[in-house]
Amino acid sequence: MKQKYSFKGALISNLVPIVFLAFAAFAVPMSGLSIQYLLEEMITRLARDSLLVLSLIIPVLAGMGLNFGMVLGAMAGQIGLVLVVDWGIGGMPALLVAALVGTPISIGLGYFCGYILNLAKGREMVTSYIIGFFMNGAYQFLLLYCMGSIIPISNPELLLSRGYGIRNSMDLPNIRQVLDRLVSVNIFGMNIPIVTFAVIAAFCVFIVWFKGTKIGQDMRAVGRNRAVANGAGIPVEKTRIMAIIISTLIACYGQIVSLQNLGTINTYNSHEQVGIFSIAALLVGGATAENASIVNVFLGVFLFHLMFVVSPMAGKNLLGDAQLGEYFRVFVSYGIIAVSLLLHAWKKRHEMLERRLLENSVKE
Amino acid sequence: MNVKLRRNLLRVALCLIAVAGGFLLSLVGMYHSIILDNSEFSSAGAVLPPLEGLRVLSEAEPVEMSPDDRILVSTKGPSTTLVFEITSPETQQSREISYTLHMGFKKQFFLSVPAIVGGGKNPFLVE
Amino acid sequence: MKNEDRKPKGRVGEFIANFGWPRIIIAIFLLLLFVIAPFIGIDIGTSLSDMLVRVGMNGILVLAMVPMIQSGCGLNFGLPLGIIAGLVGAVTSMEQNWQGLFGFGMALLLAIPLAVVLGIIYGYFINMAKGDEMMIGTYVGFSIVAFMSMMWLRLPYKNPLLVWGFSGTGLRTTISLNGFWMKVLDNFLAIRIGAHFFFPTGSFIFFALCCVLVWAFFKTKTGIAMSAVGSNPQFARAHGVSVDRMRIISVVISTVLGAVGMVVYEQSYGFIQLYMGPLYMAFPAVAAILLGGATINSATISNVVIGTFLFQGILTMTPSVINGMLKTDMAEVIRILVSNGMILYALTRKGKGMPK
Repeated sequence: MKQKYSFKGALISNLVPIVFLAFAAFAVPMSGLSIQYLLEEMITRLARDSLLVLSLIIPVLAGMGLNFGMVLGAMAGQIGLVLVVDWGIGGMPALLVAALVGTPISIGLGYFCGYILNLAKGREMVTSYIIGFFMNGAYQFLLLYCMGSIIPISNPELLLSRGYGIRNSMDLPNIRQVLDRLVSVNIFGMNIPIVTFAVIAAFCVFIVWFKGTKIGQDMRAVGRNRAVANGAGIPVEKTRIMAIIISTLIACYGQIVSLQNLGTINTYNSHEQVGIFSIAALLVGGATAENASIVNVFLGVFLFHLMFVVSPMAGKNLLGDAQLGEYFRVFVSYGIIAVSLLLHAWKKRHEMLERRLLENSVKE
Repeated sequence: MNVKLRRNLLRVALCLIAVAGGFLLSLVGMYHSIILDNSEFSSAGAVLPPLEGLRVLSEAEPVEMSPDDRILVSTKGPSTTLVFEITSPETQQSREISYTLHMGFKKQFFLSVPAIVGGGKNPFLVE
Repeated sequence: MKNEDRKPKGRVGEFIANFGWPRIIIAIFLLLLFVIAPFIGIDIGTSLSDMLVRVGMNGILVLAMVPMIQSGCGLNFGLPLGIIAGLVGAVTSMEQNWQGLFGFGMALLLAIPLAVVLGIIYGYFINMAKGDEMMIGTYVGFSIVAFMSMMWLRLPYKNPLLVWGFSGTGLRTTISLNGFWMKVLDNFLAIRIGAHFFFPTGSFIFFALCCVLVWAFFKTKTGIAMSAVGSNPQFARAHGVSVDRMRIISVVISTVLGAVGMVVYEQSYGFIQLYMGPLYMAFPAVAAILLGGATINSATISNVVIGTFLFQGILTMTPSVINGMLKTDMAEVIRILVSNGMILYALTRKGKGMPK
């Protein structure tokens, strides 16, 4: 059912990013931060987090909603990095080895996640959300108890004072910004990490190419209508699992890229917020649980991080309290997702009602 | 069966390549700490005194080492070449000695400079 | 204890099938823990008391899940809204320095109207979000916790026991109930046997009262209509029941129970946790009721009771036993694995009368 292209239609379908842009237009001057600084921050954050958000696209394509299970991929990437640091590897090779180690872990975790999601059809988002929490428990068990005791860690600096268990935060002096600095171009006094963006572009190309392959088309069919896809002979369950595995893999690499930019791993915290923030960013970019494009990713990361950086200062200047600004930022982060989901649900009902009205009028 | 077999062989081959690649990358990216020691070195028979006017040139900036001094050198990669320049205080003549160390996967090395300069076979103080 | 699930003793197999293998396994596991405990030097009396106190503490929060499950709104991840109402009531009661059972009662009285208002608003959201209630509930819940975090800093509370010392404004993160109404319910008519055993009679009486109220409600016309809306909306609509209105009512009841449950929780725990504290408080309640055998669209009072007992039992016993055996503190990790594992299990089961 094609809708006439109208200004009102465009406004409604892009409501969330527009609301966000309006919010930003208000908050940016309020924060008192310079455009130069903001631009530089945004470029850094785009390079850092875009890959993570990209990982969300494929499950949406396959009709599995927003994959909170990307956290599992982030965990796999972190385990890879922890091991790499323990083995004393640095530089670009370190990132590659971490990715190499994280890959089988991601595939395993992705398979597990996809399998459970298949058992919970229709409730994928909540289920993947809980899987994220559950796996966090397993991850903590692995890193806090197994590593250093059952799994030998040779570098004592990584361990807690009690003798086993990985430390809460680790610096990555030999890995910090390795990818970013590989080829960096200086424009207007800002460092642009060319290779990082090249890697992100490569994954974008991959996603576009993938959508065109047979498996990609299968996923799209499964996403549109499981029963029809099944009737057409597509192995629905396997396809869905494949979507999650790919998503987990991309999240794994994305987390490695993100951490190399930061230069520090918060062993037990880094991955927790990854799911919430990536999904919030995607939603801000105008995506929904049924439709997500690459444009949504970049627009979303930009707007979300803009809000993220600007809120505390704006809150402080507006309300006189930096702590308030911090809570304000958290409120907006969660509120975005709530508002997006609500708006989208409202839109869906609106469309269904309109369609029903249309059908009824046609009958007469 | 042919297709299946071929596919599985391909998968095994790819896994092996990945693991081999991992090893190679680790070798290339491994960071090693080398501690150079300039104190008296004694081994079977020979006693080599600490050196005067010793400079280590293979770092970003040349580092001077006085007798009984120790410095830490951090390098990356499977092997490294250390260059020492020794200036005799009397004659003001310098000579350069190069020493190549193959490190492989080991991460810590403890070397005695007098032993290296003196052409000794085993400059390792601690294995 | 209402036991609609129990079958006559002769049909053991059918009982097991109805009760569900996971619950039996967990029950046996719990029993095992109690058996092992004395051998590791853990006192059974203390452990039992801990467990009972925790049941009384959490029971009503678990009960709050029932109305929304029955009306087809799924698991109430938006419980933080009710919890916030409970917090506001409690803090306001403390601001006025009301103590003892009176203070406790006033906290309830202040919390309930707020919970009704929040419940109505939340109910409208739930109705907008048919099919995705759980997700939206989670994020509405998170948003309100964050919003209230901002409010706690600014609301005009002045009692020096509640606010930060230096600035004089802004509530503290954790406020002790010592001297107010700490453990008033727990200690009410409490039974103590020996040095170690303590039965919190007051809490249990209150919990039982709430259970009876909810059970009675579902026998009324409104209650039956609500359950019908959950299991068969078309049928309900055909009989003139307003589906949307029933859902809103269920959300309101759920939120009110959440508020009441939170006040009870606080009196037992002894502390009021503001700011980000309530963020994840819905999850244990969800896990407990699922452990008790509820599904996404069907929950009974026995689910609540059994679930709370099993869940709190596991949470109490497992850490102390494992700590005793392995000399490590794995409590947190175990809690995460058990509670989320239970929720996962329930999410992957095919319940009767699936939504959509």
